[in-house]
Amino acid sequence: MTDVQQVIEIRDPEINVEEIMNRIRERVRQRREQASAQGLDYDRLVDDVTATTPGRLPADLYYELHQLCANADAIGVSLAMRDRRLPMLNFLFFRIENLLHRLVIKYVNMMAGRQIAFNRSTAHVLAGLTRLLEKRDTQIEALEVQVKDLGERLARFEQSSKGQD
Amino acid sequence: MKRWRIAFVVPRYGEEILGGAEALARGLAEQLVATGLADAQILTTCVRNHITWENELPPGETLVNGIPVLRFPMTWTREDETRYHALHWRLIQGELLPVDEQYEWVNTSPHSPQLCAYVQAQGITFDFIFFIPYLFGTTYYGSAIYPARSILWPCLHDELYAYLRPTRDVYRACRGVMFNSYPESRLAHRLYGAHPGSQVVGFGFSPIEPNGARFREQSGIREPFILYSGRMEGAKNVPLLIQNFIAYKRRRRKALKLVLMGSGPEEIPKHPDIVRLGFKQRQEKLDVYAAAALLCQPSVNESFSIVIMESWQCGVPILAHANCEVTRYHVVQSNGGLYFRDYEEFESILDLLLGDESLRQRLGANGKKYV
Repeated sequence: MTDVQQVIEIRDPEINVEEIMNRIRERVRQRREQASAQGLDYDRLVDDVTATTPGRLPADLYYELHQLCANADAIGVSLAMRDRRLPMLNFLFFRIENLLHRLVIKYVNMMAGRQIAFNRSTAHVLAGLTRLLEKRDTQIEALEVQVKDLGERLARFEQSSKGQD
Repeated sequence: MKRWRIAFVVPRYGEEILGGAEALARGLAEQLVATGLADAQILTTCVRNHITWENELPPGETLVNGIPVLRFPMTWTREDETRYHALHWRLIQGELLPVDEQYEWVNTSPHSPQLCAYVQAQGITFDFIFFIPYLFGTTYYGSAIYPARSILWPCLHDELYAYLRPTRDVYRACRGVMFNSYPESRLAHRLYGAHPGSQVVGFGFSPIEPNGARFREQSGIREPFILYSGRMEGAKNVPLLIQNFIAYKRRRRKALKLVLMGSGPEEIPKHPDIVRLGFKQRQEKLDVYAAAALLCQPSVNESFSIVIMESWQCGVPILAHANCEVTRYHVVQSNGGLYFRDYEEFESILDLLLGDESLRQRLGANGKKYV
C-alpha cells in the first residue's frame, strides 16, 4: 500500500499544502492574540459568522451553533505509539502494545460514533430551535406593529368621539 | 481473453440520479462495456428519491447509455416503516442497540424481495456481483445470496451505521471489497479487521474538454465564484458553506459569488450573490467547473468525492473540510487545494486564494496531475 501511496503523491517544489495551512493557522492565532492584547474578544469580532438574519438573535449564538455543526464529529482517535528501542524484547513488546492500543481505540471510536450521532442530533435540534426563535421574533415584531397601529387608531377614534360629544 | 459477466446491484440508478455511489457504479459499468472487458447488467429498484423511497420509475428492463438496467419495485410496508423509524430514532439517539435489534433495523429497512429473487435465480450466471453502497437493504440481502461471487463496494464513511454488526458481517462475508481511497480502507480495517480480498481501486476518469468561457457567456456571471457541486443536503454540509459565504461577503465585500450546482431538498436562502443552477448535463457541468475560482467540498461524509476529481481535471483547486479524512487526504497528497476547520480558516484561505491567481493555478495543476 505504501508504494502505491508514494506513486500518487504529487510533489511540488514550491507548494506544500501543510506548510500553507500552518501559515494560515499561525495568522489566525496572531489575529486572536492581537485582539486579546487590545482587550477584544476575537469570537465577537467574527460574530456575524453565521448570522443569516443579522441582529435577530445574539451573534454569539450563531457562532457557537456553527462551531457545534462544524466540529460535531471531530472526536475520533487514531493510533499514537511512541517509538521504543528495547533490546531483545522490542518486537514482542511492540506487538503487545500495538494490540492493546488497537483494542482501546476500537472501543473509544465505537463510543465516539455514538457521541457523533448525539452531537449531530443536538446540532440539528438547536438549529431548528434557532430558526423557530427567529420566526417567533419576526411574528412578535409584526404583532407589535399591529398593536401600535391599533392603539393609534383607537386614540384617533376616542378623540373624534369626544369631539362629537 | 475471457469477457466477464458482471452485475451491479445499486438501490437507485439513472443519469439524473445524483449520488457518489450511483455515479461510481454507472461509470465503472459503462467503462467495462466500452473497453470490451465485460458485459454489465444493472439490477436496481424503481426508486428515484432516497428519502421517500417511492417507486417512481416503471419496473422492467431499459437501456441507460447502452447498459441494460433491470428495475424492481421497492417494498416497504407501513409496519416495517414504523418499526424502522422507531429503531432508527433510538440508534441516532446514541443507544447501543442489541445485535438482534440491529438486524431488525436492517430487516425493516426498504428493500426489494423481487430483486433478491432475481439474484437468487440468475446470480449463478454472473462471474461477479458488485453491491454498492453498504448502507441499503439491496446490499445486506443481495450479497448474502452468493457471497463467493459478491464484491462489496461499500463507499464507507466514519458514521454511526459503519459501527453496526450487520455492516461488519456483510464486509466479512463478501468475497472481495473495493475501496475508493486509502483512508476508507484504513477505516474498514480499523472497524472490521483486514479482508483478504480487499483492494483500494480508486476510480478512472476520461479525458474532458471543458470551456469555462462558454459558461460565463451563457450565464452572464462575470465575477469570480466559489462552486459547490453535488446534492443540496444538510448531510453534505451545504448550510455551513452558505453561512460561511454570507459571513465572508459581509466582512470582505469583494466581488464574489457562490454557485450551487445540483439538486436536493436543502432550502437555499435568497441572496444576491448566491446562484442556484440546478442539475446540469455532463458538458455543461464541466464548463461550470472550468469557470470557477475554486470548488468547495464542505462534506465530511465522503469515501472518494468524484466532484473533487472532476474539478481538478478542469485545473480548479479545492477547498475541503478538515474533518473529512478522505477529502483532506486527497488535498494533501496532491498539493491541489487547502482545507478549513472553522470559519476563521475558511476566511483566511479565501483571502489567500482569491488574491493569488498563480497559486490557484499551481494548486489546480497539481490536482490535475493527481487525477
